[in-house]
Amino acid sequence: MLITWASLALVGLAAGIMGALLGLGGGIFLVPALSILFGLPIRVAIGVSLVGVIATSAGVAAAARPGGGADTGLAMRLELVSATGALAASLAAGRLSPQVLSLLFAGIVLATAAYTYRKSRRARPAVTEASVEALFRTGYHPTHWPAGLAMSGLAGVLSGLTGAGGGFIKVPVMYSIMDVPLGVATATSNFMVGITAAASALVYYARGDIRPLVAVPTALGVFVGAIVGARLARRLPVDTLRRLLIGLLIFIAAQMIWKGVKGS
Amino acid sequence: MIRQPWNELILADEGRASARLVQRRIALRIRDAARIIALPALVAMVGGLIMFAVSTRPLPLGKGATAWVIASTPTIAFADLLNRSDLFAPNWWMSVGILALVALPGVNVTLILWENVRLRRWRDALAATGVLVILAAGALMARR
Repeated sequence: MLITWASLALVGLAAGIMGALLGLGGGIFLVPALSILFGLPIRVAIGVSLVGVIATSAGVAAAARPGGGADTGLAMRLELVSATGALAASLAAGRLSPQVLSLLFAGIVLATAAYTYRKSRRARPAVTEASVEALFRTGYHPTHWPAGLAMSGLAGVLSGLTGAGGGFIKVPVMYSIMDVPLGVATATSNFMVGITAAASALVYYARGDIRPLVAVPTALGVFVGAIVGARLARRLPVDTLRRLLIGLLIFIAAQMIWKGVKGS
Repeated sequence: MIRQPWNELILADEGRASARLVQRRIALRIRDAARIIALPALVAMVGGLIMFAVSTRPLPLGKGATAWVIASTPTIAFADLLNRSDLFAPNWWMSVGILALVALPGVNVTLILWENVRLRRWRDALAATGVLVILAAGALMARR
């Protein structure tokens, strides 16, 4: 039994590290790993991933730089639609077949691969005191609220259906569409994904899709992995790693499509 | 004692009974040990949650999560031992842990609501109330 738990914690650790290197939550790696390697039903894997997202959101919030925290006012407004979407989607997920959920997840993984590819092609500016200050500048006013709210709702729906945090939608929306500084957008998104996941985790738990003996060791692994990954990201050649991980994401998507089509 | 077949049988029965008694004593010792380990873990977890709940910092999630990790790790490490106890079965214990973790964002939103009411930022307070209502609706639906 202990060996199984140790394996689950190790898988969680690896998912957390890779997720943090990509600037995402660990769910994108965790759900396929639990589903393919451990043969768990996809709904159980999604439930476990949601617990991992809450743990990671809480852990990374603790490690946030002083003064560089989330914009809680913006987070609360966007969460109104995001949490509603997650709640509705988690109720709908109970009625969808595992095949449909596998195919939906494959779509999310492919979208993540495309997002990571775009991100890795962008030239990274040199880190100076002024650039860090710009990342967390204050006195900004978020714009384009209807688009921001709509995309947040979509992120919530996807989170409730697939167990992914949805940060890969929230960060670009806040940064590119709503004119929120990147550092604030990242911290706010990280804070929000925990609330979104909590809204749907209760429904998964009540349905019996969160198995405590699987969720706790895995979430612990993801929690530690996310913190380790965030520190490694500052030292490792992240752009090269990202390109390697894009290959892994495409492989995972292919496996999930195969699982969805095969119907097991 | 005159060694007769029936005496041999009585001796063998006594031996088995004695072995069962020893097994029972060992089981009781293990149960006691499990309780000794489980109780500090429970206290650490509840204490951690209270500590972070009364914190006035705007983002105290980390404290709760750290308390959760501190409480959960020994539970997993000693889960095999705990499994022999009726009261502290790992499944029950970890269910409590998961519900505590899922409640963390809700507690955090409550603190944000309180902060906004204190600073009279009514629009932010209203949004936080809305998020709490959605989380509560999720909890109510889960109860059904």
